[in-house]
Amino acid sequence: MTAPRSRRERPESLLTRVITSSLVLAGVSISVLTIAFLIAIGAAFETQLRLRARSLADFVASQSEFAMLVGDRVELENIATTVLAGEDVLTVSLTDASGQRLAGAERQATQSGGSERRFETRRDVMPPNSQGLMDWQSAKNHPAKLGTVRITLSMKKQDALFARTVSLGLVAAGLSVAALLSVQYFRLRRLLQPLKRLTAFTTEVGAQNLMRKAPVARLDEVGQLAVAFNRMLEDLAATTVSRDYVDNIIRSMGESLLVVDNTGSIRTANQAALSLLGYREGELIGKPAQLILDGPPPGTCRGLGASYRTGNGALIPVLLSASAMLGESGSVEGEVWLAQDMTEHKRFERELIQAKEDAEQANRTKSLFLANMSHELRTPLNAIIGYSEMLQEDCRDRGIDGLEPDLANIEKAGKILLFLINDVLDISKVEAGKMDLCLETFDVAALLQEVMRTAAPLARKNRNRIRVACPADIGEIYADPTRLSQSLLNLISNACKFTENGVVTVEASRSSEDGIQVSVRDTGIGISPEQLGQLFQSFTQADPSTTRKYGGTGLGLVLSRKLCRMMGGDISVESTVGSGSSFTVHIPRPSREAAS
Amino acid sequence: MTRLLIVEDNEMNRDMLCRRLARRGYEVLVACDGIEGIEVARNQQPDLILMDLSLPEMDGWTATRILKSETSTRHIPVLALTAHAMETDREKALAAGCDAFDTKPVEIGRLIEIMNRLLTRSEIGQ
Repeated sequence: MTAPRSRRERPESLLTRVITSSLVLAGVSISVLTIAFLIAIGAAFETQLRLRARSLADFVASQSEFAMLVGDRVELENIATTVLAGEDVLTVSLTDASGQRLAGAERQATQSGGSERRFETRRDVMPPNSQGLMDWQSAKNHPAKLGTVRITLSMKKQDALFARTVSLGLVAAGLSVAALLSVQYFRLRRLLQPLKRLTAFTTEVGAQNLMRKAPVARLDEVGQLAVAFNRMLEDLAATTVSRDYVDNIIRSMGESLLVVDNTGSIRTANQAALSLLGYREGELIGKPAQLILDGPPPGTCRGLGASYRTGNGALIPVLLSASAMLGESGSVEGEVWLAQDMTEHKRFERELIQAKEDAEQANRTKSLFLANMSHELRTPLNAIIGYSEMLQEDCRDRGIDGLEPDLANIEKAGKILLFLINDVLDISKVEAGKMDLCLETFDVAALLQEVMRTAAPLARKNRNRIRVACPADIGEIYADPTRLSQSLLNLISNACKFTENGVVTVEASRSSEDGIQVSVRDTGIGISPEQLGQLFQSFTQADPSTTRKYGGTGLGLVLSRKLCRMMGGDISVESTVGSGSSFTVHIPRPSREAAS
Repeated sequence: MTRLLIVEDNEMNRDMLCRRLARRGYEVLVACDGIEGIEVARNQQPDLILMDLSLPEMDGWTATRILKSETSTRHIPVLALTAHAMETDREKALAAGCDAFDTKPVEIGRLIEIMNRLLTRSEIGQ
């Protein structure tokens, strides 16, 4: 039970480990020092003992010289006893030169105690010289030694002293180790304190509190670690905050967003997707995308019409855009599907198509109605015009005066009505797409001459002069001559209608794109800019009051423009109120395809 | 004297056309519908038929087809006269076997021009 815990705790107790290693280091070094010190002390004690023993032996030898010389044994015994009085002297023995015992003394065994260590020293006693000092130089001249002094000293005192010194040394060593360790401990504790705080802080950050800052006490290694940690925290907070931002966008967007991984499973579905498809949060995650997509996988697409299948099986039309989702390494990690609910759009589309079909049907009905009406109108007109012509003939044949002009008026009114009916019919044909052109190549100058012959009576009516300017070599053009004549006659008729005592000029020329343009200019009442805008609309004259004054329906201009456009050309208009108008017919040279 | 047959249901138009052509020296026969027109054509053998196309009982297209399928009447030129002014009407009339086509209201000069062309052709044919 203890072993695993200590193993688990070991990484935390950096302090213990440092203290342990300090302890070992201090213990070893202090022990070595102590041992060296003790060895030195021991050696010093021994030297001291040896010196004492020698000086004691020297003293006994000098005291014994004379007694030995004379052989005074009593004196020698006295000396021995005196020496033995020294506290650590165990034995004293004096022998003569031949080694015979002269005197000796020995401490009682009980007094001396157990088996203490002993130190023995020997000293020869030499005969005294004149100076009373031992003279090694002259010793050869003197008889040999007188005797020998042997002294044994007890080492008990030295040993006790040594033992005390050792104990003192050990205590000192122990104390110093303890002092060292406690200093070390507190210093380390102080050093490790910020590390401990950083650890606690890290735990706190782990609990999602990214906005905190690690405390930086000192800028040492731990301080730098804290600074680095704070920097990392800032980066992390930045990315985390931006992720929250993106999440918020995805959650708030109106389009439904799905992320499909490479296996075809849904990995992300935003709120819009869930509500569109009728699933709850998390229900779609991990499900195959085919569950909600009706049809084959879209691949990369933009604005594809597709169908999503809701949770209850209903199909929803969507506008789908799918794009590859690339990972950081650039590899495809899946697809992002963005879909827009097209239900409303489709409904509008259906309604629009319906409305268009209705309008087309109404237009067809209108055209048919106009065609029928024109037939029904022509039949009585046929009678009116025919009878008035016939009556005029009768009057001429029978010589009846006075009736002919009235009959001519009836005939003229009938014919105007007929032209109107023809215009209505033509417009309905153009609008129904049933107007067929008879295209052929013809000479423009000849056509213009024919038109002018028909137009001459129109000009005369309002006392207008009519002028034609057409180069004789203007050449041919490929178009429908009947319809071109009809358009030009319409324009000339209008010019004459809205001009009195003026000039109508018809001018033809080759246009830049090798077509022709024919302009019809008048010096009439002109058209205001506002009126110009509505000029080419059916049944619109520039001003309703003009209808009352000048007659007409405004159909002619509309029809003329439609006919010119069918031939690839157009009619343009320029006008100044009060000074006249200029209408120009442009007929381009048809392209090869149109000509064939 | 050139004998014409006018097949026309509208009384006013029939009367007006009859009188105007008679005034110009033609002998004019009349019929009011397609069936009567065929009958008169078979019996009276006119030189030219002026055929309205919208007729009761039998329309002008059918009548023309029948006339052109019978040996006794095949040679008589038929001039279609109609108020149907559409381009397709002309094609429909020619397809039914009419030899010419003119629109109403009748412009007497133009009509006589066409009639003369048809009569000349038919005389050469005979």
